Amino acid sequence: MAKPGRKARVFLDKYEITGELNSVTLTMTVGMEEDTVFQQASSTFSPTLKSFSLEEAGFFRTGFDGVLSGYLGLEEKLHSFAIEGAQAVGEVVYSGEGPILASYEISSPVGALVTASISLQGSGDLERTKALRYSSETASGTGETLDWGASGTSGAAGYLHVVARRTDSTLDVVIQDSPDQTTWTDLITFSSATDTMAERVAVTGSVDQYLRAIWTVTDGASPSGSWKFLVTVVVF
Amino acid sequence: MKYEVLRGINYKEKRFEPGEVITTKDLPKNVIKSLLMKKALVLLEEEEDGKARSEGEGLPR
Repeated sequence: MAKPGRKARVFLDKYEITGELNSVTLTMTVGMEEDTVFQQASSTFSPTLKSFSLEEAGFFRTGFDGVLSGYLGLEEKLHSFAIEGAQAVGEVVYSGEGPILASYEISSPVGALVTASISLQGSGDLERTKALRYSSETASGTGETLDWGASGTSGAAGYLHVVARRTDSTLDVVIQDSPDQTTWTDLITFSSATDTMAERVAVTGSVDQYLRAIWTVTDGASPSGSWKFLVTVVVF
Repeated sequence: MKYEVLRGINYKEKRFEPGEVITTKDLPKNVIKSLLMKKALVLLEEEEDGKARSEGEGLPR
């Protein structure tokens, strides 16, 4: 069944920019070099390097503008595109560590709303991750279990976008794996968050079939607000 | 036997933090075995077997 586009969510580093956008196009490509030689009847090609790009469009907003104008040309900004919104464990989220904000365009036609669009050029790998948790939290908790379908032997990577903070509070997020859903071991430990942040952490070695996120909220004397975050994982 | 926890472990309702020292009373043997293989635990010391022989007992004459 076709999926409705309206559920998508987009995360750029420590910001969720879903509310600024109404269109996202993710393009994955592989370079092609022609290797045709004499005596062939048709052209032949060989693949070279993979790459990806993102075209995102929406409305001009002052806060959004402040973020994007500062990100132009910068690398190492995590980006995640949750096609179905990442509300359920296991939903596909395309994440990349190094897309570069290559262009930012503002259009202001008379008689219409001011729009903004950005182009991100992928640098490095785009990873097809799966959602473990997307929620607002004020207390520690454990997410639902993701069945990856099989164990892995070549490590895993986790993405964390913390897009809203709880003041006077610390958030610690860990991805755990388990062979039997009874014994869980910390697999990926993200840096402690005291503010909004984004991070990709990769580990090597074997990874069990079942995965989940756990989060610990440690409050100070006068906390306020909620932590809002997205955690995703990919097993290699 | 004593083991040091290298990676945080949740077993049923129990939580063991990295750096914590646990014994065979804390987890079932098969769980400890699998955690050792995952390098989530490391053996610190072997336990005395508690069956020390009296001098000369059982030794060949």
